Amino acid sequence: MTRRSDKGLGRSNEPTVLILTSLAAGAKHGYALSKDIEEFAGVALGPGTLYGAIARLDERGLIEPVGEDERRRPYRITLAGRRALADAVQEMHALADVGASRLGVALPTAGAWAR
Amino acid sequence: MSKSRRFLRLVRCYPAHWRGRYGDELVALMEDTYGDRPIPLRQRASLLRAALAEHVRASGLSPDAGRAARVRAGSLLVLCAWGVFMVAGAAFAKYLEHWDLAVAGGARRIPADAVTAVTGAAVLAVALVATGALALAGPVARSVRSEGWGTLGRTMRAAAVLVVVALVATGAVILFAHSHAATARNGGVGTDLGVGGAWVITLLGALAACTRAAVAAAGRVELRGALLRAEATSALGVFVCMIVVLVGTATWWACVAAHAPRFLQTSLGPLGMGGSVAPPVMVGITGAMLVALLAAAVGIWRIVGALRAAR
Repeated sequence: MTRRSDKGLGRSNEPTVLILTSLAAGAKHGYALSKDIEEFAGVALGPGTLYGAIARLDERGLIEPVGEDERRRPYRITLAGRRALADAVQEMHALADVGASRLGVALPTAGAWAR
Repeated sequence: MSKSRRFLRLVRCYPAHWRGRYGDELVALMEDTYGDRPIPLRQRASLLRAALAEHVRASGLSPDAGRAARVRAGSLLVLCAWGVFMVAGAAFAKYLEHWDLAVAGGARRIPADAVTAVTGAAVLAVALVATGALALAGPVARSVRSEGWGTLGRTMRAAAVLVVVALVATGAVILFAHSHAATARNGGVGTDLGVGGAWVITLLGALAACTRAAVAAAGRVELRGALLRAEATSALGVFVCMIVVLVGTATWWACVAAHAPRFLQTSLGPLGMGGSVAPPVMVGITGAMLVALLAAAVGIWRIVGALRAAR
């Protein structure tokens, strides 16, 4: 079995991918992130899972805190985070292509997100 | 209980450095998410699991830990394993008393060489551990000067108190032992057995507290360059010494079992629980050494993997 690289973000339901996807639309603090992810992905991330993933992304420099509020600190995606998210989306797109072709269904074109 | 306090109680399960960085944010998120409602059991379990994962990451044992964290975790695992070896080795040293009188001259050479190898390896391992600790002393002192003692102060104080208690207890036991006959000293009398047991507990407590303090102190230091290599080399050296100690102990046991089985069957009086050339005390000693050696091997595997990945 081929495993994804340690540096990769993983599949679409990975908390790290969901957080980066949410932050790609603008900076948010923990609660806003959790609500946004629930809205666009239908996934309710618990506080432990959410902050575990935020800590990982922060350590890897894929997101960074903004503002002075110590308790409801917003985070924003960094350039490295955008690149990592683009790689993850490409990987998911390739997988979706394979799945669609094997099922014999057409996927809508993905646009130019891979720039 | 106020709502913040019940959230703070859960956040307290996380490592201190993690709490310092993300604790307030996590509490704020729980306030926003749950307010006055109870936290679902599933989410409590999830928080505890996440806290445990952070502890594993902080220890450097998680697969995604950095190179320095893996070397540190590996070295600390070897150090803890060496702590177990010291306890088992002390029990073995007690067992060794007067063994040479029980073995005939011609058959004495191999077990005597094994005992010499065990003693030499133990002394070398203690020297390596001391060298590793000395190498860390400077960076730890700098960290304390810049960031304060924090929780390290409490751990160090506890270790210092237990070492003093162990030293005082050792002095008292020496005085006590000199006022009794050899059979009583070796557990022939109930009160002596109790005094000996209490003394062993103080020694174990001091050893555990010192190991804990060393682990806490090492956690404050970022291992880089020469310090990283020095700690890795010390750990490798201690691991080799542990192999020598275990092989030496097993060799001595096999030789004495072959040439003087009565020594194994009757030594240590009631503590020996003899009748067999595999008395529970010796089985316990070698079993503890074997388990500790396996733990140390995991540590060495972490160190070697980290150093290889850096090439």
